[in-house]
Parts: sequence; structure tokens; C-alpha cells
Amino acid sequence: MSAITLVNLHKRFGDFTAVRNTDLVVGAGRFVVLLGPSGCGKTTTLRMIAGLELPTSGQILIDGEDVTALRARQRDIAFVFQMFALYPHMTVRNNIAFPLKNEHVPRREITARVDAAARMLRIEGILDRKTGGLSGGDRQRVALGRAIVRQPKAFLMDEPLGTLDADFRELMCLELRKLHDQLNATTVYVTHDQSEAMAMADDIVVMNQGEVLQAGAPHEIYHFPATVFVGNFIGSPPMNFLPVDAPVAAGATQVQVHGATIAVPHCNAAADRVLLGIRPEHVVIDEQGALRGKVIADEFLGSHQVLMIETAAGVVRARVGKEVRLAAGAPAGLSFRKERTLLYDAVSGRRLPAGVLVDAETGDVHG
Amino acid sequence: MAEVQLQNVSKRFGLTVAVDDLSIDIKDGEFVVLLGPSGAGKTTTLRLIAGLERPDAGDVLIDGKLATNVHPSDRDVAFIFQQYSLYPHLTVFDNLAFPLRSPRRRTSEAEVRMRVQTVAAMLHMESKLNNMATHLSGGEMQRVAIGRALVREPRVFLMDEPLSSLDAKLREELRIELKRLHKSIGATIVYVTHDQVEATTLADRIGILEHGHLVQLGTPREVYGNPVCVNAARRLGSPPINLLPPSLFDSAVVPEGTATVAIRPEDIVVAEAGERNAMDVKVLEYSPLRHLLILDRNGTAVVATTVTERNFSAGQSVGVSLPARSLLYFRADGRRIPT
Repeated sequence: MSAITLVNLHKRFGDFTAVRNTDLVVGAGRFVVLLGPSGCGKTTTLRMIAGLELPTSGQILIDGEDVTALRARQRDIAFVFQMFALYPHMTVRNNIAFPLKNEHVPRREITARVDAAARMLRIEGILDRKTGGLSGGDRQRVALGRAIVRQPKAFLMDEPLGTLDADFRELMCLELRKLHDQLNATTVYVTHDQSEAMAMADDIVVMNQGEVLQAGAPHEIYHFPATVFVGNFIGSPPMNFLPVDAPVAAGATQVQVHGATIAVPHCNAAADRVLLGIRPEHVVIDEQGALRGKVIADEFLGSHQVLMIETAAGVVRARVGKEVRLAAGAPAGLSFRKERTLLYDAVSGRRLPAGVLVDAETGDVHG
Repeated sequence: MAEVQLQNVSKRFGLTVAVDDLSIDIKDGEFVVLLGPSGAGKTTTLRLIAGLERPDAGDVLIDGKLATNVHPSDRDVAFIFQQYSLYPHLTVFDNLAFPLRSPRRRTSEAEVRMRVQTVAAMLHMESKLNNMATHLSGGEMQRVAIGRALVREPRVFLMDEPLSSLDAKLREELRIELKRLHKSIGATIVYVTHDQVEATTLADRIGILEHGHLVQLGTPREVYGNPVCVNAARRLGSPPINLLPPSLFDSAVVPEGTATVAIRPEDIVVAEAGERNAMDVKVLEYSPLRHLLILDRNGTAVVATTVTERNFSAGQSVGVSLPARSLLYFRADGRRIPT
């Protein structure tokens, strides 16, 4: 399997810049998800890797070899689309074998490779059926089978689960991840659905308006969003952002939010306008909490609940256990788990570097 | 707005019994969510209320009046489907105005304009009124579909998985909007879904359906914390409730006739190192993002969640306790044994 490297990639369509300044390394055998809202440039990036679009400038390397000028078919990459285009009049076996027949692979090898792919996808039982009458999931598996048999250098997938309903999407996510663990194929996967990204990715690349905002492991993106946009886009409910009262100086270890003093990890940069970012699960309902407010709504989710607390600094969402009973209208004090409290420059939207933040799960150090 | 009652309603299609002797009282202004696996009879129940199906037995009452033989168009209920079917050649405004302009209603054009404007404001769609319906995103189309029901000011809203074709972010947005709408207009809503987040956050009461039977009807907290049967217990909860053999527990505390002991993952107490009264189990898997532990107890997998992130690695031994007050006992036929 192969590594894919993007160097300062740009793509313009007329006046519109779809992708700008994109540098990215997809390691061999990694499952990388490009995540972002529609129009963020993720599909254009994928199409450039595939060779379906030519970049306006920049380079694409596969295994160190510059393929920027190569045609799609010369790149040895398999593309799985959202709308699986199967040949309805052909059997499943012939659909999967189709790319190999085109490449004049010996018949015996075709049979062996189709059988192996079918076994992996658990569709041995339907190899002789026409694809016309298959369920959405089976059609998706056949489309994957057609990509697998080619044994390409990499798989590119553009929202392959987009048309399936929610329950089934979840199941297919697990299947795709399992398949990846078996094949260990370099995969670049495009989606706008964060739960798909979280469930499958080794690395997530968050894009918006043509730019890569952050690339990293799912837990890193979740706990240490590089920008306000990432904190809002990832997480359900999203991260809370509260305006800080005064400019923050380098070396600060506390900030004021509407007069309430909040301890933060040692801040290594200064900014005039600052936002405090905190995930709902790191907001603690605390009688002694400096920030005071009033419960305005409660979303019960079984194992836990999300309380919406109206404070002078804005509405704060807190994820708390199911046993907490605070009715709408009840007063509540809030405190924030210090090591999970992040500061952002309100103008640029970027996170202010902080002193040593040790990730409790992984031991990773962020700053 | 109105109350809705089903009294001993049954409906079969050929040999399949879709709805079996179902009775339910839905109060005026109540948001009731029907939850169940496919084939449980959820959609048929909605269609019976709407009058799109006729019951083989039993009665449908709307606002206390017998509606069993009333034509769907005279029941004054609005049905919202999963697949929003808008008129593609009409603008958003005309799509919203459509039900009001039907000859049966004879609404004046001034009033049509006023009601469409009000509903558009409610749904944050004012700026899109002149767009063609085909130039909308999926979430906006579903908003227009909901808006088309709202302008009619019907007595009852029936919604059949209205959010399930939308992606996660949009689903969440519209879910919050639906909740807000329900609060502001006080509508009676019967809502079918198999998404448990929608069920627990939207519902005043959840009705659990199985094989055409209503097995439990209660507030989300009641159904979650006090399920009447194994199936109701499994219907809510993510990760799902642990169903464990009684042999894992002290036979002195397990009531007679228990076939399954159940405990919610968040009720399992993961002890700090060295704490007593805990049993030793091995960690099979730990997912830090979901704070989820898969443990091995004598060959049975037990799922636990912790409130905050902790540091566990596979193979490690941890002490856990399963507090007696959190245990639920079920018979072999699935019924709950009261304790």
C-alpha cells in the first residue's frame, strides 16, 4: 500500500477557489477522513488525488512519485462513489469481475480474486444474482468488491454511505473499518458526517472554505480543536464558547468571564479578544461555581442529559449524569475542568497555545 | 388542538397482525413518540389515526368524538412523511400556501400571505420564500414540509420519521427546532421514530411498541429507568443495557424465576485501585472518546461507561461493583420481576 502526499495544492474554478494551500500526508495503510460542511473542498481534494481534476497549482505524490500530470487510470487508485453505479443486467460476480476483465487478467485469477473479495464482504451467497434487485447495503458491498479486486494502491471514497438510512450507516461504518483492518489499504474517505469520521478514521482532516483547519487523531481533534469552527463542527452538542472580559496576556493562568474568575492552563500567547472554549462534559454543576446561571432546558438522553444553562455570558451546555434533577428555572453554579479549558483568539478563531496539556488518555502533550 | 384516543384497535394485513388490540390516550398538547423495531406497528398506528387505514376492530377518537368512519380529509390532522414531497415547480411560498388555497378552505389571499409569513418566520425560512423548492437543501425541504403542515393549523400532527433521511448535524438542528415549535404552539404530536435520541429528548411520553402491542407508555425517565420488560429495556440506552446470566450474581439476592439480570452501563461502578467490595474483571477494550469499557467477567462481556476519561489498557485488571439498587430482574418470557 502507498503513501499519498499533497504539496501546496490549489484549485480554482473561475473566480472561485475550491481548495487552497493544502498540504497533507496520508501515510501508507492509514484510513484518513476528510470532514467538513458542503462546499468545503473535500470532494475536490479527493477528485484531484484520483486524477479526475487537475490542480491549478501544487503537487500530488503517490509513494514519492509525482503523479500530478498522470491521468486517473494511470494512478492505480480505486474510487468508490456515493451513487454506486452497478450494471443492473449483470450478475454480482460479473459486476465485481468487470474491472479485471478490462485489464485482461487471466480468467482463473479473476475467479480467485472475486471469490476472495466476496468472502471478505460476506456476499458469497448472492454472486449469481442480478444487481437490480439487491438491497442498498448489498449494492454498496458489491461496489466495494469491485474496488477491492483491483488491489489498487489506495481507495478513495466519496460519501459512500450517504444514501443509506441512519441505522444502516452505523453498521456499514463498522464493516468498512473491519475491512480496512483486514486489507490495510490506504484509504481517503470524504464525509460531512462527524459520527462516520469518529467511528472509522485513523486521522481526521477538518476542512472549511477550501482550507485544512486541522489534521489529527479523532481524540486530538475532539479534545483540542485548533479553531472555533472545529470545536463547533465536531461534537454533539458542540463546544461551548464564552467571551472573555478583557485582553489576555501571555502567562495568564486565569481569565474573567462576565466577572467570574476561571482558572485556565498557563497561556503562552496574548490576544485582545478571547473566547473560552469548553466541552459540555467538562462543565461541572457546582454550588461554589463562579459563573452563575439558570437552567432553561434539559435534554434527557438516557444514560446522561444535557442541561442548557443561561448565564450572563451566554447559554452554556453541560453534560451531566442522569441522576441530576434540575428543573427549568432552577439556579445553577458552573465550574470548568481546568485542564480541559481552552482559549481562542476571537478574531482569527485559532486556539491560543497553552502550557503543557497532557492528554489523560494517550499521554500526548499539546501546547 | 385535540386529544387522540385509540380504543382496542386492531389492524391486520392478510395474515400479519400489524396492530393488535391497541389502546392509547394521547392528551391535548402532548408530544408522544412511538418507538419500536420495524414491523412493530408504529407507522400503521399513525395511519390509523390519520384515517389512511381503517381498523378491523376498535375505534379512533379525535377530540373525544368518534372518528373511525370520518374521511381523512375531514379529520383535520396533518401527516409529515420521511420523504418530503414538495411541488418542485412551485416556490417555497407557494408550497407553503398550497394547503390554504385548496377550494375546500376558501382562505382569503391576505390571510394566506399572513399565515405563510408567520410560519416562515417560525422556521427561519423568510429569506427563502421566493426560492424554487428544488433549490433547497435536504434540511430546508423538510422544514418546508413541516411548514406546510403548520399553516393548516391542524388539530393533530402525525410525523413518520421526519428526520431520518437527514444527516446528523441537520437532524440535531431540526430536532431542537421541533421541540421549540411544540412548546410555542402547544400542538398534539404523535411521532414515529427508531432514533432513541429523538425519542428521549422530544417526548412527553414514549410508547414502546412490539408486535403491534403497546408494551409500555411513560415519560422518557420512566421507560429508561423502570422498563416493564426486556424489550423495553433494550429499546433505550446507548450503549445498550447489559443482559447477564443470573449465575454471575449472588444467588441470595437474585429473586426466584430470574432468567436475566440487567444493568445499565453507566450504573456499573468502576472502583479506584485498592477499593474493597469490588470484583476483579479484565479490561477487553477501552474507547476513551466514548468513555466506554468492555470487561470480561467469567467469559461474559460486560459494558461499562465512566463519567470522565480514565486511563485503561486492554488486559488490565480493574475492580467493579454492580450495585444492587441498579439491577433489574427479568423472567424467561421477558417480563420484569418487581423488587
